[in-house]
Parts: sequence; structure tokens; C-alpha cells
Amino acid sequence: MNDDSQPAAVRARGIVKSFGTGDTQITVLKGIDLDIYLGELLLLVGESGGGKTTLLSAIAGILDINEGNIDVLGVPLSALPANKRTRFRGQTMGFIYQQFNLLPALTAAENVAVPLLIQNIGRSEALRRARGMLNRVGLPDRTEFLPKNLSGGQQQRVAIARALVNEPRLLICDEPTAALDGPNGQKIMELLREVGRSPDRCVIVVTHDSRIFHFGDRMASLTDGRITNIERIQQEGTA
Amino acid sequence: MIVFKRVSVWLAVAGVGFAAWVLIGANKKESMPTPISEPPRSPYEQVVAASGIIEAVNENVRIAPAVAGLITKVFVKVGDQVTEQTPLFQLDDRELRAQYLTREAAIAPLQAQIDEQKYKIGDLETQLQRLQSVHDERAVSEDDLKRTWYALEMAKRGDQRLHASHKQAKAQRDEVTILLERLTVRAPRSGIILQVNVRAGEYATLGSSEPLMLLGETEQLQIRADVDEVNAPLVIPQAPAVASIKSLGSEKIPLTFVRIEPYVIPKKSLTGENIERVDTRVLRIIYRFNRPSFPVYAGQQVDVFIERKPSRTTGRTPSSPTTPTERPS
Amino acid sequence: MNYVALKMLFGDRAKYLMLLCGLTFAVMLIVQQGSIFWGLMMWSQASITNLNVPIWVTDPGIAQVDEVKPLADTAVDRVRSLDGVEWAVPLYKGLLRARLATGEYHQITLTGLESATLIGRPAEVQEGRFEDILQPDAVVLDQWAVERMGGPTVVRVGTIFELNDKLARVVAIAKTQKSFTNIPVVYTTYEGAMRYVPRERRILSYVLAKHKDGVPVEDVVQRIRTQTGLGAFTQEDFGFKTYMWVLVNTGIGINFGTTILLGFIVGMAIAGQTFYLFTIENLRQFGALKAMGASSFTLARMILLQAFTVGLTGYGVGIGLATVFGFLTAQGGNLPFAETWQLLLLVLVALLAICLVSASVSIIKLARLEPAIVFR
Repeated sequence: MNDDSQPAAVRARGIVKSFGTGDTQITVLKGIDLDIYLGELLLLVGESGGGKTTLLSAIAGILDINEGNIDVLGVPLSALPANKRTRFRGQTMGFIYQQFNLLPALTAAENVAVPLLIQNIGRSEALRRARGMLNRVGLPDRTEFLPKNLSGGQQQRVAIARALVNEPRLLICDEPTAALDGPNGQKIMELLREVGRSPDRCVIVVTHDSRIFHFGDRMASLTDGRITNIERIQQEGTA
Repeated sequence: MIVFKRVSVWLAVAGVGFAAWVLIGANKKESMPTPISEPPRSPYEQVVAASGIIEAVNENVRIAPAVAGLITKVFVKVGDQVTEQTPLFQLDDRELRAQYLTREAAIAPLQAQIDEQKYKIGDLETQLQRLQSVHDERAVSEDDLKRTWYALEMAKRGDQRLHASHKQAKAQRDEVTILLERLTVRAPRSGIILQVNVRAGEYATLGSSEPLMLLGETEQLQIRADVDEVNAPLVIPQAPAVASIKSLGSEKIPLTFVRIEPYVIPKKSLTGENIERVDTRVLRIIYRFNRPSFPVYAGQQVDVFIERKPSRTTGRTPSSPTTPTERPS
Repeated sequence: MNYVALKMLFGDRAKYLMLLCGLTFAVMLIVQQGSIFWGLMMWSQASITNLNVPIWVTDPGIAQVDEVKPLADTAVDRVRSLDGVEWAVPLYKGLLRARLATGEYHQITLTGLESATLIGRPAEVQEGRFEDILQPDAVVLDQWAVERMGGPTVVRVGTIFELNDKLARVVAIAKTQKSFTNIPVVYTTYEGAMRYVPRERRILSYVLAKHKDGVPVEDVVQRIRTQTGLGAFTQEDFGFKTYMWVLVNTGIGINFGTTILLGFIVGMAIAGQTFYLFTIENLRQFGALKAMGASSFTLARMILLQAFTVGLTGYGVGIGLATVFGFLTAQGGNLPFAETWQLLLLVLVALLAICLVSASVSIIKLARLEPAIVFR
């Protein structure tokens, strides 16, 4: 599965990112090389403040990096102008956040439809696809609920549906289980594996929750701005 | 549309609607209440407006007495049609009547004296004849004859004197009669009594500011129009003109030009106040008119519109041709 | 995305209501203050609007309607002589003293209307018949005169009082716009006025005229000015002249001007701040949208849509409330309140400008926003 002949979906080389200037300057990423391949679920683990979220933002093209370059699906992200990068992100990436970041005013279906609406897809069509997606994440009867009327797990499912609704090639998850209790976190990870992982998509999950490590294909450890270890995880039952 | 599901949006629409409704209501300018009668409007394109007054054609006669005196009797009342010599009022004549009595009485003794003298003359004539018929010189002296003749002649002259005195006494009586006549004030000509300012028992003075009576001819009326001196050059003699009396602005009385008074006079305010206010000078124009169907009275104020030629800039000919004729003197 | 923007706006009911209340209050404050100011200005020209004639002719040096400089009597005829003048009638206007049977004195404005037409009379009477003014010694009061002189128990139709030591009998009560000075108005005929006023060389205060239909009123006014040398004004110009005089020569301009300005600033500050706070609080949501690929342009459009939607809604509710306030309080005519479409338009423009400014500030903030905020 992991052979070098297969092209990397994300190819990061020598990434350096620092915040602030002068005396207060803090370098968060100190030269990172990382390849992420299609079809895999990569866990990015490490201590708090280790730079996991920063690396994620850099890969997503949300954050400009100081040095190095990132190719996503063969596109040099750092070379793209801001507006093209935004559009590229909308078309190829899906996001799942720790705090779900659902729009509280929109129903579940509407929240899911937002990425499609951003792509200028008609509202009825967007909602139809959003409902289909909610069906796939197991919430067929919650489509017209407002986020505040859903449980945390259900909200994260909505968030997953939203992240997947425009069929992204790259699914970026930032601590998806941190706001959830253990069983719910397990269920979300199962869902991510089942629904999120597909042969032409790579899933990046930032987490420090060791209970969900076994859902990943590979695990990259980030310590003090450097990747200290990349290991393949033995899948239960696949051995 | 999601916006129409919000109460606040409907409230806003209602608010705008209400404000618009109130605004339209408030800004709807009330039209002016219709004048209770038509304001005087000019029938011509270009006009000179003037204020005028209706008056009798023959200027009104302010009746005054020949002498001052107490008024004992007023014979006429306002509106009476009088002919020439109609007595108007009577001044106190008792004094003159008393005089008349004494003068009259003075005639009778004179008449008696005249009669007496006649007999005296007859007697002397008879005597003279008798003396002349006697040819006897002894019987009648020349002296007697002459004396009798002289006496007769004297008597004749006395008769003449008495006749003259008699005539004088009669003339004196007639003088009083005429003076008495004068105390009855009579109409100098026919007309209508417009005003009576005296009553029996009042004292008529000479030269009072208010006439005792006002006599006028109201059959034929005319209008005296005052044009502000500023507008005087715009007035064309013979130009058509109309007048309308106050409160009947829509009824136009056509006017016929009579004359322009050649002297510009200080305006006497025609506003009803009897004090004269001089603040501008006016050109006075006299117009004649036929009595309209509605009653008009001498002394009424009128608004006069006189047509004038369009100003040269417009270059149009007037709708009704005005033939400039000689100004009547 | 407009749908999403509106949903975001309306979705948070508490925040939306707060926003709406702020804007509504601001709009209401400005409209109400402005209307009261304008109402006062309307009162200052009440003696012009109450007569409601198109053209006023008077001395060219006149400053305002209540400062009368009499003309020569023939001015009426001179105005009538001009082209385009349909009619012209005299008007007397002057201050006199009225003495009531109780012995009280009141300064009054005597208005003498031309007797044949009564042009310039009020459209409505509360009591009696205005035409009875033609009776001997008859006068008509306006409703404010009744109020000032002690109410309907003291002055009513039939009441007899003294005007400059001459008898005056009230035959009607007219309904008029309250005036700024609130000096009672006594109507009589022009001839009647001459009887009441002390002897003066000139009596005629104004010539009221109307232009012929089809002739522009400005042309006629200009013609009167050039051809007679008199001062001529349209009703509107004369009103404007009068309230400009009031603005410049009384404290109202300064006092009210600052109040209104303050109201305007406060109102606009509230509106701007409220809306800015609203966008700031939603910054995280906008960040999420940005992360999902919404361009800055789309986000700017969303914010503007929200700003204008809430702005217009607040505007509508605000002017509605202000109008209701004015409608209820000013009905009796005792409070100056005159809403004009110009004021409403001005407030609308200002409000939209404020919304635009605060939206722009938010947009700039958003453009600088690191979408990474969503990961925290």
C-alpha cells in the first residue's frame, strides 16, 4: 500500500514557520518533510503546542509558511495566489474541527450544504446532496435540526458530512474527538474510517487521544517543531 | 425568501408604509379655500389696474344756505327726486316776518295821506277855477288868484312826494319778502337728494366742511379711476376698460372713455376712512358706463382694468384694435 | 450564500434583536429630533402658510413675515397691472393690544383680509362661520388665541372685547397652524383693520397675489420685483426667508442644531457600534467559511447583505415608531412635529453609510483574518 511509486497526495519539504518578529519570534515548525498518500489515514500526534495545528493549517494553505514548499495533489500550494488557493481549498479539501464550527443559525442539512453553496451550486441541489450525506453519516432523521439541538457526537457527524459533501481529496481533521466522550469519539473515528477513507482520498487527523490511535494507518509524531517518528500502525484483525 | 419570514421585516415594511402614509397626508398641500366671491380678474392680456369710485355725471351739489340760521323745517328726505326750485329746507324767518309786518303797516298811512292830498288838490282846483271864472277884478284880487294857484301847485308836489314815499315803503316791504324767500333753500337743479345732514332745529352755519345736503344726478353715473402715477404712462386714452364692483368681481361693467383729468393729484384714500391720506399721486380718468343689470350706487368702490398694448418685447398686436383718437378736451 | 448570510443574521434571535433595537432606537432618535426641529421651523412660518397664497408682495427690505413695512395703497393696483398676475388683494398685518372684559391685556396679531373675497382665510373653522366676519365689529380668532386668552370659558363665539379701545365681537374660531411666537391671531377685514389700527400714513402691509395658470410663479415674482421695485416672494421663499431669520437671529438654530447633531452622532454611533460588534462576534463563523473556500469577496458580500438588511429593517421600524410618536403627540397641534421625506431620506442615506462603514471595518478585519482561528 505504501510504496514509493504511488505519488504522494501531500508532499511537504523543509517547512519552517515562525510567528512574531525579533525577540518575540517563535519558530513553531523547524523544517518538516512529510508525504501523505491517497487512501491512507494519517494520525498526527504530539504534545500541545508542538505545532500540530500549525502544520495542518500550512498543509491546508490557510497559513503562509516561511520556508519550504508544499505540493497538494501536484499543485504547489505556496505558489498559488490567495484567491486561487482559497478556491482550490474549497474544491479539494474538507475540514473537521475540534469545536465542530457549525453555523448555529443553520439546520444540519444547511450546514452540510454550505461548502456546496460556496461552490455556487443551487440551493435545492445542495440541500439534496447534503441530506444524502447526512444519511451516510447516520443522521437521516436529524436533517432539519439546529446544531444546538444535537448532541456533541451528532454535531461532529454533521461536521464530517459537511467536510465530505463536496468529495474532497484531502480530509483535514483537527482533534475531531477532543470535545467528545470516549464512546462517541470511537464512533466518530469509525465513521471517519468507513466514510472518509477511500482510495482516492487521504485523511489527516491531528489528535493526542491515544484511544483512537488504532484507527490510523500511519502515525507521525510531532515534537518541538520536528517530526520525530513516523510509524505504521498494525490494524486489528488485519495483522 | 427568508427575509419575509421575519416579523421585524414586516414591522419595518409597516413602519415605512405608515410613515409614507402620514407623510403623504401631511404634505398634501391644502388648497386655498375658495374666495367667498371672485377676486377681480382682468379680462385683458395686458392691463393697467386702477381703483375707482362711482359718482354722478354732474358733480354732486353740496347744498349750502345763503345765510346762517336756525333750520325750522326740512322738506325733503334722502332719495327724493327733486325738480328745480323745489324747496329743500327752511331757515328761521320770524325776524323777517316781523319786519315785514311793520313795513307792510307803514304803507297804509301813506296811502291815506295820498288820498287826503287828492281831496286837498281837488278843493284847490275847484277854488282856482271859481276864481278864474270871475272876471270882475274888484271881486277877485290878482293876489288871491296867485295864492290859490301856488297852493294848488304845492299840493300837487306834496302828492308826488307822498307817492314816492308810498313806493319806497312798498319797496321796503318787498325787500323783506325777497329776504324771506331766501330763507327757503331750494334745489338749484333737478336731481336726487343723496345726503341730508341737517334736521329741523339745527343751526346752519356758513362754510361748514360737511354739506348740509348733497344733491346729485344718479340717473347717469360715471366712474372716476385713479391710476398710480408710476403707471400713468401706460394708460392709452380710448383703450377698452372694464370695472367690477367689490364683491361682484366676476361681473364686468364695460366702460366708455370720457377724459383724462390733465392734472395729477394726490391720492385721496378710497378705503373708507374719512381722513385723507396723501402718500402717492394718481392720474384720474373718467369713464362712462351704462347701468348694468344689478344695482349700482354712486359712491361705490370699483376695481378698474384698462387694457394696454402688449409690451414691445412680445411684439403682438392687441386682440381688440384700439384706435388712438384725439383726446377729448 | 445570501441565504446563509441572512440565516446567520436572523438565526441568533437575541443578537439580532439587540442589533435591531440599537438601529431602531438610533433612527427613531434622529427622525424624532429632526422632525421636532422641522416642526418648529414650520411654526415659525405659520403666519405665511396659514394664509396659503402663492405670492407675497411687500417692501424689498423685509427680513421676515412679522416685521411689517407698510406699502402705498396703490401697490395693489400696480401688482394687478402686471402680466401674469391673476389677482392681487391687500392684507393688513400688525400687532395690537386686545383687552378682555376681565381687564386682561393680550398682544395680538391683527390680520385684515380683503373683505370681498376673504382671500387668506383659514380653510377650517372650529366654531361659527368665517363669513360672519363681514358683520359690523366682527372678528375671528384662531384656536390658539382662545387658548392663550384663557380658554373657551373666557373667549368663545359672541365674546366682546376691546381692540385698541374699539369694540370687537368674536363670530368664529378658526383652525390654524400654531405659530412659533404663539401670538394670538385676530382676523378681520381690511376695512375693519383700518378702523382698529392707530392712524398711520400707510396701512397696506402685504399684497397677496396669484399667478395666472400656466405662468410659472417664479416668473411672476421676478416681474413684480423688476417692474414695481417691490419685494416679491413665493410662499415657499418667504417661508424659507422667515425661518432662516429665526435660525440666525434666535437661539433655536444653535440649540436645536447641536441637539440634533448630538442625536445624529449618538444614533449613528450606536448603529455603527452595534453592527460592528455583531460581525466581530461572528468572526469565527466567517473564518470557518473562509476555511471552507469562501472567497473574501463572497464574505464581504455576505456582510454587506447583512448590514443592509438589518439597516433597512431598523430604519423601517425606526421611522415607523417615530411616525407613530409624532402622529399621537402632534395630533392636537400642540407639539411641533413635521416629518419630511427629505429628513427620512437623509437618515436612510446616513444609516446606510454607517452600515457600510461598519461593514467595511468588519470586512477589512475579515480579510486580515487568519482562517487558522478555526483550529483554536
